[in-house]
Amino acid sequence: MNRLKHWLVRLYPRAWRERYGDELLDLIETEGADLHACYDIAKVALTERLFDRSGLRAAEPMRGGGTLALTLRTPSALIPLIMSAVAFLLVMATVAAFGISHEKDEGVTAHLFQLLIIGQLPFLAWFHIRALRGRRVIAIMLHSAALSIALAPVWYLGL
Amino acid sequence: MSSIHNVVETGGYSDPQYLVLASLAGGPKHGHAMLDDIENMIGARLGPGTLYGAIGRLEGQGLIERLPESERRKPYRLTDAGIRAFAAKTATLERIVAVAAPRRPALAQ
Repeated sequence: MNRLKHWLVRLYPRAWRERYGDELLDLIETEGADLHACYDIAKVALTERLFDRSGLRAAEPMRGGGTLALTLRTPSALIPLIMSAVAFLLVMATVAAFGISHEKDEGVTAHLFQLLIIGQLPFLAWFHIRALRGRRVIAIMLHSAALSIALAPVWYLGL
Repeated sequence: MSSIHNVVETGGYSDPQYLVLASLAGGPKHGHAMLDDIENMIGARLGPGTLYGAIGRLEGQGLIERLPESERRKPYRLTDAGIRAFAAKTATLERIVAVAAPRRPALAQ
């Protein structure tokens, strides 16, 4: 529980944590952190990272943490996102053109899809070794979301 | 305890910022007291993230402000702008309810 609540608060941008982190920790301690509370906190933290709703990061001088825009300008963070998007579009285009087929022998599309997914690993490793911790958190969220979207049709359609 | 997501089932109201303003209109409160107060108002408990998301936005807009720490808790209160914003939004809601309430029995039948 102790580690979980600190991990949850770390999902927020540094400026937000410095302002409200202690209060949120206290509240999690008294309210508990069930699945719904964890989802609620993660959702608001992502919104805060993406849109800076409190305006705290905009008011803060640029520090090591960095912003979404800065993360997206880093090729090793951006390339995996593009590869996930291409993988998703590839599957959708194939399904739209040829319908859903379950063949034993994997075709060109399947190999390309696998290459696009597995080919991200070196970029992800490079980014996460070199990036500062604040940017790693937002990158993990973005990459996880992009990978989930890319894999969703394969899983959902049983391809 | 019902979730804020069960708005339709509970008849709850899901504008967290207004709920925080309404809670602080009753006097300064810290986070936990706001959750209790809001639960009394709408019958659903806000999540901790939603509450502090609303507090962050309202403070960023200058509608609420933090008071000095008391018993390790950090209470908040409405600013003058917050009082005006709360009054204006409440007046709007009253106008909506005045129009909508008579329509409810007709739709429920």
